[in-house]
Amino acid sequence: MRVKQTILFCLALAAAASAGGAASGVQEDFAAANRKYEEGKFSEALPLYLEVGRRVSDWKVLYDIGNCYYKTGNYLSAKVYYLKARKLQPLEASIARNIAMTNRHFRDVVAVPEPDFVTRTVQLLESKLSLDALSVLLLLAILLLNLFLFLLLSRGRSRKRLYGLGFSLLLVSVVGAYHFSRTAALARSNVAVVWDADARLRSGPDEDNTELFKVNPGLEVRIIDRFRDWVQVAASEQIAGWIEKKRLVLI
Amino acid sequence: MKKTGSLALALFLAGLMAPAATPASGPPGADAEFHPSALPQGASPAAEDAAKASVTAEVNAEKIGLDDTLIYSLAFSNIENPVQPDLSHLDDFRVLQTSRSSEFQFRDGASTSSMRFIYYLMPTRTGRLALPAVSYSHQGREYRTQAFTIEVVKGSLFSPGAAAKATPAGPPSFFDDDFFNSPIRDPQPQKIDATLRAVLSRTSCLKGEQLLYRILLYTRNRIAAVNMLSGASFAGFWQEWFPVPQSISPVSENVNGVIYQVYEIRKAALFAGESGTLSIPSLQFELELADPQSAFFGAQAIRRSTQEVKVAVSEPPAAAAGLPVGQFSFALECPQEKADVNEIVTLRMKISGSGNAKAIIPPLVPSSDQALVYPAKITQESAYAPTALTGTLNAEIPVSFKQAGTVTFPPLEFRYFDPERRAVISLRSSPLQMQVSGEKLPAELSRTLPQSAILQKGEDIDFIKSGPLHDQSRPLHRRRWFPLLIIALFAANLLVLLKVTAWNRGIAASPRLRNRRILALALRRLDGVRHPEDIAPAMESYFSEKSGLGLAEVNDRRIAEVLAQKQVPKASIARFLFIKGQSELARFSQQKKSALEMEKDLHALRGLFREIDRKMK
Repeated sequence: MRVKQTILFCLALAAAASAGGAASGVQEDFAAANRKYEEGKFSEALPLYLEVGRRVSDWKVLYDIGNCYYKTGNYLSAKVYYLKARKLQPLEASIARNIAMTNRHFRDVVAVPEPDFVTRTVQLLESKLSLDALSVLLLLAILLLNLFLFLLLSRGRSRKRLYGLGFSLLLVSVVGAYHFSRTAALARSNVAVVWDADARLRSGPDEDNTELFKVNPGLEVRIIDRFRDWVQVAASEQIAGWIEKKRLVLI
Repeated sequence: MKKTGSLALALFLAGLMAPAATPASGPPGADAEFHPSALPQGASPAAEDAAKASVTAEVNAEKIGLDDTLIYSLAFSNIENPVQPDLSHLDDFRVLQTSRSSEFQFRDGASTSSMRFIYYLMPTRTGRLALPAVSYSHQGREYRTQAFTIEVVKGSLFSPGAAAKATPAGPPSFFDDDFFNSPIRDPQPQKIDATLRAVLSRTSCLKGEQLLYRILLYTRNRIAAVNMLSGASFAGFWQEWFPVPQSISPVSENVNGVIYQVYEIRKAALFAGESGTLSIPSLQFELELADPQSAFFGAQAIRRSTQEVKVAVSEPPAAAAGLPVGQFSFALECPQEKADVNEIVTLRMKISGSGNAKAIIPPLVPSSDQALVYPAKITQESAYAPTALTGTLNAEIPVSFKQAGTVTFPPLEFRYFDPERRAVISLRSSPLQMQVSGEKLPAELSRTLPQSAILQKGEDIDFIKSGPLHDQSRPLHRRRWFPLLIIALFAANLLVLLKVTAWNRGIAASPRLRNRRILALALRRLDGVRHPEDIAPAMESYFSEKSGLGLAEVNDRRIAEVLAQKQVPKASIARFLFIKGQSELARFSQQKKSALEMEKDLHALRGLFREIDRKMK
């Protein structure tokens, strides 16, 4: 009975914590920006969205900012915001579609290969299982582990308690590792967009190195390595090189 | 080797029409290799059974360099319309290009026809490479050619020095002009008489003005095919090469008394992109001469180059800067005079002329308060007239109308520079007027959108997202309570562990604390007693824990012995045993002790417990 009460208490606590949405003022500003957009006043909607974006980080706000930039002809900024939204909501179809539409306005278009089955499955799981839900799951696993630990300490050893302890330990390890990888991936910026009109990829992290490619603004690149103010990026398997960080916008 | 086209010259009349040899110099503009001479008479192909079909293969060399090109010929004799075999599957050779030639002859009353496919193969590695046999089925019969083994060495064997060094006594190269003089193939020397000449329509022009660049082949030999080996791109020019026709009719030209057949083998329209003296470099061609000595009407290849041509390009007048150069016409039309509000009407603009149509930027139709102009769909077409390249630019401009009334599109202006008149010409379209009504047109009269308008309307980004916002920058695991909760859970278990290991097994198990714990437990049990019969079990439990005896061993006699040993006063022992006996009898007695009496017993017991505890430490 006491165990059930503890679990229910933790669930209620986690639910209350995750349900903590944005303040109502932000929500109203967001609605006002949406109304401006729907009226076709994209230039007026944009500063409202940007203000909401400063106060709350939600993929919907970033996506809508991208839409405003697109409608006002600033495709480079639109792509940057779409990619930021994609980072928070990886498998959202609208984001992918709008990125594809934005790419039509750039000179450099690199075909993105279809992800393999494992990657696709992981991405699908990530889209369904938000980071907060994963945190709650981790918390429950730790609670279960502690429960079996408590029973083992207070009531003595038994086969059921040992199995329960082993299972909960395994659960904590798996969920904890996945949680750690997700948070680490979210924390590091491994995607960037070429911003500078005169950007060139070089063979090494220095101006004296050989110029390999000229890349145009809007090209999405993957960051491979960093060295001082330079980053090594790859746009595809064939196109890779070093570029100054200031010529990129890190997502 | 750059992209080259193949040219089949069906009629081999050039050599036959040539008169007797007359030493002469070359035609105007010819290079130093031009050695006109008459074709030797009496040279005819070896006769073959006209009725007999055959497929044969030939290579131009059995040893080549890695940088050389192997010419592999497949000759189909007396096989009607043979399908060209595909050699792209070869691993050791890459097919650079193919060409074909055909021949039809009457001899001794019988006709023979042959089709020859020529493959230019580049080896992909060195070593002895196999060129497998080619199989061909025709009318149920299988034909199979000979297989070859080609030795491929590093470098090139066909460079003049290398060829002499590598194969001093080998067969003569097909690229050698003196092939027919080789004693191995033909003791009768034959003169190759072919040269190329580049002709430019003008030697001076304005920037952007069209020039016609032609490459003429002067020959008295029979030409099977022509392949351009050089790159077709000239620095400083934008060029449009005319398509190569399947057959070219020659014209006769008398050059210093010698009649040559002149073929216009390539033609391009050039538009100078910069001013100054521009140079059109020498272009190299491979000419395949029909070899009259070959049993299969085989072709022999020679190489010829055009001369370099220079052209003086001057800037157009300042007023013409940036304008198209040439002669153009300009028109803007609307297919209807009436439209409905929100209906899409397509305006059609057409600019055509002799200049570079691909460089023309059409004038824009401006949007207004009454009409919304969508991006235009622009198509360009080129026409290859004998004397110039002409082009047409068509623009379809979708327009929708916002309100009813008369909408007027002002005349548009298109300006270009005419190099012949040396003046900037301004063309204006007629003003267009549309009567726009507020009524919706019947469905059958409504017009479909042009492709550009469909793209504009149909393909757009997905709409904005709304709904409740969640601050994704502060996930649960970043909140302060999250790690604290995890730490608290483990800390609670750590306390339990400490209690079990340190307290229960260490501190609480010490003799002093053990006695106190037993007494405290016994007193707590007494506090929990509600019925007289519950007193005896509490007393037995206390005595069992205190003496270390099992509960089964505890009885009145044993209690009396132990307590006596511990020097507990006899009165206290008797009192202890009396209360215990009263409690045991209470289970079976109808008369219960009152609460007051029970409380008196409990009080006395507490005192007895403390006294026993002191004696039994």
